[in-house]
Amino acid sequence: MLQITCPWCGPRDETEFSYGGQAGVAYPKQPSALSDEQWGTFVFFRENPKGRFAERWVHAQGCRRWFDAIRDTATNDFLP
Amino acid sequence: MRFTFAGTEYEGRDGETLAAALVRHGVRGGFASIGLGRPRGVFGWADEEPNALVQIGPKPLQRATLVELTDGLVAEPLKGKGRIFEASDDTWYDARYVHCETLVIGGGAAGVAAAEAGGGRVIVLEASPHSALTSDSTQGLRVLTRTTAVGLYDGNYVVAVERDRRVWHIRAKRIVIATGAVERPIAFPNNDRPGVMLASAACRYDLGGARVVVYTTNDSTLAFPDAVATVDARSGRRVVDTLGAERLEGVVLDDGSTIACDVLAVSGGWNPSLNLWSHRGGKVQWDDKIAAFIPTGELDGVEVVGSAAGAGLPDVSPVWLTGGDETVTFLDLERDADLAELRRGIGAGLRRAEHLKRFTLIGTASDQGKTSGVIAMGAAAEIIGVPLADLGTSSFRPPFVPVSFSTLAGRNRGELFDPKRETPMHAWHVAHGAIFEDVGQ
Repeated sequence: MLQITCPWCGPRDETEFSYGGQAGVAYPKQPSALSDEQWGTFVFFRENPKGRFAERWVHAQGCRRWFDAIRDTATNDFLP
Repeated sequence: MRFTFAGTEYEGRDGETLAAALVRHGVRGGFASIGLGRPRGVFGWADEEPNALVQIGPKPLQRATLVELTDGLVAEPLKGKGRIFEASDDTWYDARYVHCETLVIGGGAAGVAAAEAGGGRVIVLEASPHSALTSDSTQGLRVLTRTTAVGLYDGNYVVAVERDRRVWHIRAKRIVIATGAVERPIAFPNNDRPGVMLASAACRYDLGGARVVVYTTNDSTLAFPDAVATVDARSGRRVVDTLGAERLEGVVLDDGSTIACDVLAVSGGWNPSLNLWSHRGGKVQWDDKIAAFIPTGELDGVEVVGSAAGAGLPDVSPVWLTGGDETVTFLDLERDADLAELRRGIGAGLRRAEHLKRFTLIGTASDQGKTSGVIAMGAAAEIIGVPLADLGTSSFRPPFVPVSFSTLAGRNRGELFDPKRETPMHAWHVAHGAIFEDVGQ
């Protein structure tokens, strides 16, 4: 089981957290101006790197706050 | 102390295992193999045992080498498979969650040294009932005997089982794997005859006045007491067959001569126990000098010490193929898998350890191939004609030793499995004859 460091609560078990996908995906400024394909890309397409990946996590069973973390997807190690 | 095995009562001693008592009483066979029903006997010393499986009350598939005798114990030999007990198991199971700075897995010499050097709170897991260390809360040292680490997961999270009763969930900053090495046998025709044992087991059992022949590939058997003969594979000698029916009566050598004996102590080399290292994604590489897989590369917060890292293991000149009747040359005793099956798999075009394992089932029994995996790979490499390292390795998966479902379930069973929650008005509703609907949690 992973150990994830919540910036507010400290290191906790993975079971206390929920995953929020890739970090830094900005909401389109003008959603109505997007074509179906661009909207589909925004909704469904994410990076899938082997290595460092910036992610959103929420401490769902703790302080319920969202934060960003960088995880190595090959080793599952969280980078400080 | 009295105990019953297969309907016969025996006298037992305090601190003895069931297997040790059976061997001391001269019971060489007593077990049967799963597929062919061939007579089998105690083969190993601890969790590597492939033959001596017993049912004790509600508990199936207990290894006789790990069962400590208690007065009135009743054990029934199992033919490779257990039975689900129909009555409910009234044993109490439990779970604990702990943290520590240093977790030492294995309480041998290397483990003790690591525990004494380790900083912060130290936990030592020792599978046997005895440890050179004792818990000392003032020093932050906790020693758990009869406790086996069964899995090592991401984030240095270890699951260990104490006496098959209590599950320990341990999160450690640093993990020292000091699980030692397990001896492996040599494959030759009729190598499953009751009385053929691992040398490391045979030299620890009380064999009475048994005549012992040692068959070895390395120097670890030098100190063997009272052997009538030693067949040293390094000088070209081979054991090519065994004699006897229900129990071993003699061995046949490569020059056609026979030696009468009751026990054949076999040492085909030593395999470092790298299961936990592999659970966490650690890599292994083949070492020709000691003829075994040793850990390579690094894992964050995990180190391997002592003979688990290959340190201090003897040089080995392995013997993979002997010739003779391959249908009775057993590679995996618990699966009854023989060399002929392995050859059939290679004939079908399989070239990788993972594929051969699935084709022959070698290493898939409840002993997880502790004695069979490497000898099967060695034989396969020689048949195909490639270096052993070219076959790849099959990775280990938890659990390291079998764990019963009831242990994992712990207290979460019966009423506590899915506790009913009732409103404060429940009693009033019941009193007024309400009809209830189960709406879950």
